[in-house]
Amino acid sequence: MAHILLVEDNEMNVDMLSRRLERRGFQVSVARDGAQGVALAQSEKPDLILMDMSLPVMDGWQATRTIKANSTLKHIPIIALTAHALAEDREACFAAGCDDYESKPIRLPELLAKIDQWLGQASTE
Amino acid sequence: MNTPLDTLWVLVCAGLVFLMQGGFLCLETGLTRSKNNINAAMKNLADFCITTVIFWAFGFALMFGASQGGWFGTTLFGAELDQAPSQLIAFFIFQVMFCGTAVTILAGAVAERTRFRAYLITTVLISGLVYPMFGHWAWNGLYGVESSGWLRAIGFVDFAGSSVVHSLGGWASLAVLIIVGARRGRFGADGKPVKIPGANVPLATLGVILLMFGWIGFNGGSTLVLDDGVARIIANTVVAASAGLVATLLIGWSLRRRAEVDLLMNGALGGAVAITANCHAVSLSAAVIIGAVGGLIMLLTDWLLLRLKVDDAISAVPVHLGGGIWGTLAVGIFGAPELLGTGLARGEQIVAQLVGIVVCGVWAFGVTFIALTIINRVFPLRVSAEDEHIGLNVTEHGATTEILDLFMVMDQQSKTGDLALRVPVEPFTEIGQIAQRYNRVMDALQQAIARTDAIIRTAMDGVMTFSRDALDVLTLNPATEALFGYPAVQLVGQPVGRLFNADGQALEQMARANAPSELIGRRADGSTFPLEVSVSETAAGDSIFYTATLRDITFRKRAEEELRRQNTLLDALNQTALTLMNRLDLNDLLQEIVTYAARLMQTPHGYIYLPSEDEQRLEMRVGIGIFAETIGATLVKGSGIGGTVWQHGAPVVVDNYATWEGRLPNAAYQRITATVGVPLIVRDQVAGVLGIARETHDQPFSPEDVTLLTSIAELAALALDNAQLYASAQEEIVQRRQAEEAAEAANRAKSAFLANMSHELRTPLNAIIGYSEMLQEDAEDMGYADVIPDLRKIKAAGDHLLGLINNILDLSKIEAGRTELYYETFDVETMLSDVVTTVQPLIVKNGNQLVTHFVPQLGTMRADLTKVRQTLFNLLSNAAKFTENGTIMLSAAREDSEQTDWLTFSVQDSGIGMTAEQMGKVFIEFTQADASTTRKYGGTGLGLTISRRFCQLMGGDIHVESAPNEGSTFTVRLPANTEAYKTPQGMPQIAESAPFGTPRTAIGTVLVVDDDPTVRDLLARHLTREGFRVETATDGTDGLLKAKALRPDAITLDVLMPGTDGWTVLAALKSDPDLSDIPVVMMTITDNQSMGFALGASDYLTKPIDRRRLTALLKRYRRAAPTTAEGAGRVLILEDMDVLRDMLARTLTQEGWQVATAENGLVGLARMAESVPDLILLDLMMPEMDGFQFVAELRRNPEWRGVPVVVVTAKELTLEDRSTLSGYVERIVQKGAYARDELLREVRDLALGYIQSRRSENDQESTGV
Repeated sequence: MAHILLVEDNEMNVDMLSRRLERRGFQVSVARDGAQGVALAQSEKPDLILMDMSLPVMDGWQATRTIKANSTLKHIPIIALTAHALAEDREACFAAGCDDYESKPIRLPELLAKIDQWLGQASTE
Repeated sequence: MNTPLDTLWVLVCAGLVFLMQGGFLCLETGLTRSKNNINAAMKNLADFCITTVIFWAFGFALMFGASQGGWFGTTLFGAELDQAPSQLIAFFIFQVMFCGTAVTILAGAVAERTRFRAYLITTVLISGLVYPMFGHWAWNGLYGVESSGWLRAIGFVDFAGSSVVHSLGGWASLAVLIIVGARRGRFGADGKPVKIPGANVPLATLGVILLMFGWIGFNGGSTLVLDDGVARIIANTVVAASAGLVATLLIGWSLRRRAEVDLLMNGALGGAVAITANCHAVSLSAAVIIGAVGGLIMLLTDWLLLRLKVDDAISAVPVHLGGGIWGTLAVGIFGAPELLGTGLARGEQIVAQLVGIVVCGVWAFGVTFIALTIINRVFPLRVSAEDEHIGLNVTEHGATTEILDLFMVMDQQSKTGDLALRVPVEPFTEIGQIAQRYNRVMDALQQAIARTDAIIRTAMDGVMTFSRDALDVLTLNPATEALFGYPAVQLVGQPVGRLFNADGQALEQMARANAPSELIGRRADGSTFPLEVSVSETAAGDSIFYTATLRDITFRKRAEEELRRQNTLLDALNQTALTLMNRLDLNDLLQEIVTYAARLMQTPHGYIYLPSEDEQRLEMRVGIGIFAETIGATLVKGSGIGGTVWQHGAPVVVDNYATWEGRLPNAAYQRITATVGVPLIVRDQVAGVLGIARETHDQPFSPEDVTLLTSIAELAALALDNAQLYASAQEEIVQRRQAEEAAEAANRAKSAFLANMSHELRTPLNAIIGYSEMLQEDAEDMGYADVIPDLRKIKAAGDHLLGLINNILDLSKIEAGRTELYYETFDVETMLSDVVTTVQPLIVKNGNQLVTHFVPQLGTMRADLTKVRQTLFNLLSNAAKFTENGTIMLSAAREDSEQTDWLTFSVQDSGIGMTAEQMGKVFIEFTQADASTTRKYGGTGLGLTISRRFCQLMGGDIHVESAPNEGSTFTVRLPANTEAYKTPQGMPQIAESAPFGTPRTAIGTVLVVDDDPTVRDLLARHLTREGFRVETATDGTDGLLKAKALRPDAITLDVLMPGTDGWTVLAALKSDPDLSDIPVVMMTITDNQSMGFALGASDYLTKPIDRRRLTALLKRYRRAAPTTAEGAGRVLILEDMDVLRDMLARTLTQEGWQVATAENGLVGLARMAESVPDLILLDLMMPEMDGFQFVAELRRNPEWRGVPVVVVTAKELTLEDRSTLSGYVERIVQKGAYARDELLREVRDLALGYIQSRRSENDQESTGV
């Protein structure tokens, strides 16, 4: 089953989202800040990363850029998962290297569709 | 005298010689001027008679009486002749004539200037002493006595008196001439002789002829016998005289270039004189020579005398002395000894002759000179200058003639200038006729002069004449008198230098310049004044004088001076104005004003007061000089100069500040003496006071000063107004800017707050919604059905909250003008059905039914799809919310005409409806039709507001029609192409090729070449954010030009552009060595739906075809293509080149495709009609119907529209170019293959990659690797 790295500092959200994803059969690793996220991405090589943007230590944009700059990691799709819901926030996420974007509060069906899409692409290529 | 015939002959000859007296008279009166002619005649007559008496009394005795030792005679005195024989008496008569002749010679020489009395004394001296004594020495013993004069005794021969008569007369004349001097005017100032013309030359000529005639007796009678010699003597005489004339004429004519009168007359006489001594003893031939030489000697002597400035009136000396000496000498030279009878040899004879010549000279000249010098002391020989001028006729004899009367009057007239004089007219005479004419001329002249004179006299300008040499005033008109304050009598004869400052040289220059000069005139009272003088030179006869026109130009000068002063002032004011108007800073300006004013007033002290803000007092804003100490001092109205000026609004001038009652006690002002203050009046209000002060010893202020200061104040007030306006404008600008900044800051804060709020709310909302959903799932799974509605409520509340947040964000963005519209062209009906599908659950919830009514062929529209969708969704959900168990109708229509193309969507419900008042509020934020509805129906009250704003942004609007309980109808009208209706509120579209918000330091430059403004905008926006500088070009040509100019780091190139298409541009780029290495990203963000030129191909392949690429491409399409029953995709190949077509067909067949082929577009369409392929490989360049036409046909058929087309192109590119290209066309990007964001990232990465590779290349180069 696909391995998802959830980078999120809000405990409730971590709890809620990881449980919901696990309930749908994903293997979920959790990083509490961007630096940890990068480290876990490196160590665990997840199939997909859900990245919050407002994070301690290293923010989500920086973490995304770091991951995307790494040739061994850059193929991992990153979906921005953020309460920064304005259009320019979305642009900023893409600019940082995120492959997709989902604003909070999360509409789970849409998120799952995106996860499927990205995982599907990754698997076929 | 032996016979009575001899006696008769002698008497006849005496008569002839007497006639010579007449000859002399004619000669002398003819050669002198008529004013002296009577005198000359009288002298002749008188001297003859006196000589006769003296010669009778003792002269004859002294000369011919018995000699005492050869020196003088002692017998034959007057009475002794009583008993003398007739022969002796005849001899006496003959000799009397000779003596008279000798004396008469003198009369002519000294004519026109010698007193008559003196002349008579001279006559006595010569006839009584000089002549008889020498005559005794030369001739004693010739007749009557046996004795002999001593000269005769030594052999001296003077036959008829060349020496005795002529030389002696000549010598005596010379002596007298030396004593009396030349006539006035005979020699000019330069010493050159000036001819004094004779009055009657024909008369003089007659005289010469008479003389020659008389000479026959003179010489012929000297034999005292009528013998054989007489004829020869007479012949010699006539021949010599003639030879004299001829020789003199020949030589003199050639010398003087004219046959002058004296040459003729004196030449003949000279010849005659010369022959006189020797005519009895020379041949005729010799006589010719002697006469000729005599004439020439006469000429020589004449010249010599003129050189010596001896004025001989009738050339008596040259003729008689010159000719006489020569004639006497010629006796020795030419005389036949046997005829001379002296017994001397020729040499001895010559010596004897020379002795006689010398003795004659010494005696005649010496005695005459000494005697007359002495006599001259007692009885001056010479007449006065005035008498000489008048003429001796009048002065010596009182004799007048009518012509003399004429001359007298004329002389007086010329002397006095009195034009009223008229000459006496003697009727019936020639002179009378002249006099009459003269009087007429004078009448006319007087009249003409009177007219001129009238002009001169009444002239306003002074007119005066003055001499050129002495610069003495000659005449002047009354204006000149008035000008200088002198009466004319005081000025005439005075030097003009007394009147004005000009010397002769200056005046000469002025006369030559012929233009007025400005001089300084001096009046009688010593005062001076500017004088304009014009001088001209006038020549009147011999005299040359200046005429001056004089004009007092005091007033003109004053006016000029005033004008100049005014100009200077104006210049100063202009300068002030210029400087002041350029000063906008108030303090600078004030400083400038004071400085200028003080400078113009020539004082260092000045100040400006301006009213305080409350207008209660004046404050000194600037001060210079002593006022520098009191800057900031304040005044109330009426206090000090400033307060007084402020109070009255008029200038205040104080001559002595110390005694002025309004003075201020300030110690600094103790030094002020005179001061002046003027108001600065701006728009009829005293806006300030400008003041200037002077210190002790300085002049008080004149009215002119005050006027000047007032003028400055006027200018200053204008400048002040200007500066104050500027200052307030500046302040306004600052305030406005501050307000704008504040508003912007507030806006930013609001946006930040909203963004923050949104973020902070979303995070807990995430949990709320997430957990509620989870719980719902759990509840469903675990069968806790009773909690599900509550969980739903929690989620609904969360959703509502989320909706609220979203709406607020939308609205704040709209208000901040930051809403971006993403224009897309979409199919209207598709969009509507999407909306209907989405809204369906809401409709159903209240038991409503949705009816749609779309007109057919709604077509496409270009708008922000999301916002159109959101608007319609809003309206439908509202309708559903306020309607229960009713009908909601969504209708759509299109108004498509030539001018307009609009779409209308309306949502009609059968709900509660609204009142007119409610309708008015319905679009206002946070307002529902009624506050109660909020409670009842919920909702944020923002939906309609946002929807309307969206429509307005897209150039449309929403309208509502409603009545309570009759439902509402909301109508949306939008342009079919909303992009063409951008509103100012919308995101400003990027102008063609305009630079985008360029980052401060660009990491590189990307040139975007695309005809679609949306694409340009999108790329530019994105790349700019990434730190690139973006330049855009709207077509291929523009793109090429910009590529060359900019040398960008990457180029994005639209394939399909009007004019030069992307491929052509690419070919050009790659063939340019400077541009060939720039990475080019071919873009085809073509939209299937867009009209026009879009090719709409799915992909491109470049020739020569890379097999691997072709395979990869096909794989993608195979996967996309629905698998057919045969299990293989169908492909249609359109290619005109057989080889390539076959190759492609073979390859595709190998890959498992079913292949159909066509050699051109028409055939291709036919194949399409037979069977629709899954994929089309299309060559663009084909005969019959090319690729573009083919695609256009393809798009027209809905069944064919969806078939992907891969363009295989070598358009305008040679094989060689293509091979070069293949390495550079890094990507061929196609819309379907990538998401937009990915596309943008692609471009960015390519550009960055290029820059990096270039950098590393440079590094390698620079490090020498």
